[in-house]
Amino acid sequence: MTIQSEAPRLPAATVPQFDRNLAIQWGITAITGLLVLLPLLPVFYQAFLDRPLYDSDAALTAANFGRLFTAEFGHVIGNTVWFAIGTTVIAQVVGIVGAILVGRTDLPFRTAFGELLLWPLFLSHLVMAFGWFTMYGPSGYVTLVVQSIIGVTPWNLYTVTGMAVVGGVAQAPLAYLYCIASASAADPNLENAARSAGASPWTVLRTVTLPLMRPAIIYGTIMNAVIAIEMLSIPLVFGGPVQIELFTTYLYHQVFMSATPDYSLVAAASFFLLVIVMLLMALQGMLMRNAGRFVTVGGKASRPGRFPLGPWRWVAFGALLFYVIFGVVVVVGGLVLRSMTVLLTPLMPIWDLFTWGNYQMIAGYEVYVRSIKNTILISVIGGILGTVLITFIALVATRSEFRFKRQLEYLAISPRAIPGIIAGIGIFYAMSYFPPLGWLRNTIWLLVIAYIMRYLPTGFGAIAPALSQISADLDRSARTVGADWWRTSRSILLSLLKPAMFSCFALLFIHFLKEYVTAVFLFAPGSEVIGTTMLQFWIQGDNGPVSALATIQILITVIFVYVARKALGVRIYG
Amino acid sequence: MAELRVEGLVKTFGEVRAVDDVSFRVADGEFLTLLGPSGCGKSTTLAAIAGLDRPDQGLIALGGNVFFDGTKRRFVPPEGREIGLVFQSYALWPHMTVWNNLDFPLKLRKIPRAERAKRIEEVLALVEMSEYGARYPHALSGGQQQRVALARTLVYRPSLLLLDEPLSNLDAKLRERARTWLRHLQNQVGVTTVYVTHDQSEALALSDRVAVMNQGKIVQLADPHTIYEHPADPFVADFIGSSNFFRGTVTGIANGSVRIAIGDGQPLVAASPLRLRDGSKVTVSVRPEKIYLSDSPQANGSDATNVFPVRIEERTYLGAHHTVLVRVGNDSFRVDCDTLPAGETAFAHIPPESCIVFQAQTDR
Repeated sequence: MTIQSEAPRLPAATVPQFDRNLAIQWGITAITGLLVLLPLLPVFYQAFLDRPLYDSDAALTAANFGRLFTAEFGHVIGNTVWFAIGTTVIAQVVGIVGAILVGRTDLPFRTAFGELLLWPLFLSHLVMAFGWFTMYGPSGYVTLVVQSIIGVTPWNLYTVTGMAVVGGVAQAPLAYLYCIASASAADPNLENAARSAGASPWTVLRTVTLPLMRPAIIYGTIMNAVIAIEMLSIPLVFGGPVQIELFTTYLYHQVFMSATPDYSLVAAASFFLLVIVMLLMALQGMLMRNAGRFVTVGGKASRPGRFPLGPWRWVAFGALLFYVIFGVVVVVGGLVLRSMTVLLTPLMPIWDLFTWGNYQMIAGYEVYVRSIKNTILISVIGGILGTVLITFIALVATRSEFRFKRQLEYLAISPRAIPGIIAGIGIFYAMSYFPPLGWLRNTIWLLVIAYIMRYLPTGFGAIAPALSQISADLDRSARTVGADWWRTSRSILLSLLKPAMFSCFALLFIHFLKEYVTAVFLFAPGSEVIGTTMLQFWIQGDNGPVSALATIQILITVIFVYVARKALGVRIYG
Repeated sequence: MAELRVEGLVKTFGEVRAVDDVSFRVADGEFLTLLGPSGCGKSTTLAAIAGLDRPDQGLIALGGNVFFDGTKRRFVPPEGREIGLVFQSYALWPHMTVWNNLDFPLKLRKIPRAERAKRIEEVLALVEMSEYGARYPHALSGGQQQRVALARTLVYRPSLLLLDEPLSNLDAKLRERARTWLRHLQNQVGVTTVYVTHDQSEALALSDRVAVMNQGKIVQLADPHTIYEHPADPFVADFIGSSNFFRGTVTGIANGSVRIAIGDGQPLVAASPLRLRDGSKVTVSVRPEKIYLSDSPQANGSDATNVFPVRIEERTYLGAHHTVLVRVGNDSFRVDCDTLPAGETAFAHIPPESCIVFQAQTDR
């Protein structure tokens, strides 16, 4: 046999004239750039203009910042800092302790606790805030019960500290998520080595286990601080009624409560917030640079050994049970109960108050039904489009010879530093500046675009690690047998990436389902979502329908997560 | 068919010149091996030929097709080169059956279905894997995967076959069988082949010619026999097979042989074509299997040159033979022998024609 052949061959040794690979790579980069810059540029520009940016007489100025930094604003900053610190500390302490107890000790029922500690991650802050309000607010069910027993009002959530408690419990799952990954990946030999060198379990925990979790702790701390700073719901629900202003509520009230919103002032404040968040992100990058020191290089996979807690295991069990019941179960359960009652109060038996009225009210109005439909549509369509875009970004950024692939990766993860509220304001400005974008105004597409931009980093974080698990030899071999980059990506990498793409879709779906901050400035008649409708009910004081909508949102989430995990085997959060 | 030309190839990673001005040619149908320790630049050279790495300078051409030309900034991407590369990891696509793995390159070439089927059957028969078309790669043994990987590159009949340590993931016994099989197959197919390995016995057994690389350069390019018998420098002598090295100074020269004072000043006579002066510093290499031990200074009818009384320091039994570490004065060296000498001392005979003389680096 000879391999001489007259059969068709590829055009040999050619440098292609039109390179479709380059065209696609540039296309992806352009889309990503537009998405990220769409909200940013208008904010940057408006921050230095003396009039709204659509006004042709507008001139450049730096005076906006002078007008911004008043005594009142100083107060806002003080509140925000205190809230962010409180939220972060509470969230981190709960998350770290929870992760160590579940991941590293012989705590009873630790698998169940692991699930319960993680679950609130699937719920929106708005839902959590309403839940807390319903149970622990001034006329909340638990508040009234305790009051009737001890005779005085036991707590007041309408303070910055009170908000920080709610925020901390709401953010604890994120801290837990980062720490549990680190705790369960730890190499038990490192601890065994310390034990055999004579250290007591407590010393080992202090000197080996905790330090090894340091990257996860640092990462989670800064993520939680950023989320606390940009959180709208809890400050709005608990600070709004008593005029405690935080950064986000300040922006919210500036836009919605004044007859003629001061574009320049809002942009200057947004700009300021953006700079703060970017600085925090830069700090995170700096602190994480030496994270390699903490990477435990384990040879063979071994099951992490567990610290025996002895009699303390029941103390830990009790403490965690108390936390889970009052921090998660009561909050969510209370909300569900409230949705099925006229009023939730310990003063009357619950069965006398039972009603489907709240749900009937929602079903009766087209706007409310539409907001549910829109939310699901945005989650599905946005999830699919987002997954496709993010997958291609990851393919270009990590699996191509594209000259600007590093820059593309930075671009894709940069929205991490763009708070949702700023994204909303920025896109809102962009629309008023580029009238051709106006047709998007009353459609869900505007929200789809905004959401995808917001959650590019989240999706990228699901795809990129999976991609790096696929040996580079697989695409290199496809290239040498004659497939170009695009063909290789389609025929080889996409097929192998399917499980990761499902995970990415699931993550985007959940985030889009619970997102509301970005939508607050962008929704219009026709493009309402559950979150914005809940806020409207809330402002009107209709707590029943709010609870019903929240319950519906929880129900959709539970069903989706259950089906995705159990039926489709999708991995969501490890 | 095609001759591969590589000229003045340079590839740097940061400060390191991974490939440093490498040039060679592979004739049509020839089997050339790039051999060297890890980090010598052999895999980088292969990746440059395949188009997976873009070199900094030089020229790579196959027949009339210029793949890379540093001066003209010409770079043909891997998919435009019509070459086959077998990876060390085999790189079979796990989501495709064996058949589909082979079918993929043919589909890319828009070959009609019937012709594709014919070719796949043909090449599967060639690698003796006909029954395995429907299997997925994970259901195959290492040796079978290696055959499929080879079949996948042969099925589209490339003009050049590149093999990147394809046998290194097989166990020792299988490796030897695969080696014979591979050489047989290459003869049969007649494709120009470049083979990369760090295993010298593979290189010697398979190749028409071997290019020994060290620190980014080719230090010797010759047929296996020359590489083994006449290594170009001490590195090659040491890397290919094993060698004892004696350092010394030339004390006399007489028609084709030199007298060298080694160690404590003992004389060693070596045959050497080198033009050396009295007082030249030299390194002499002698392969352990070329030295023999006996109980008397006059054994096997040899004359009395290069007979050293030695003390036996260590014996290692290797099955097929023994390796003995012996000491003479301050020098110790290894000797391979079939039977062990009886006592603690013996005489080592070093035939002058088995001594290879290198001028010491500083003396050049």
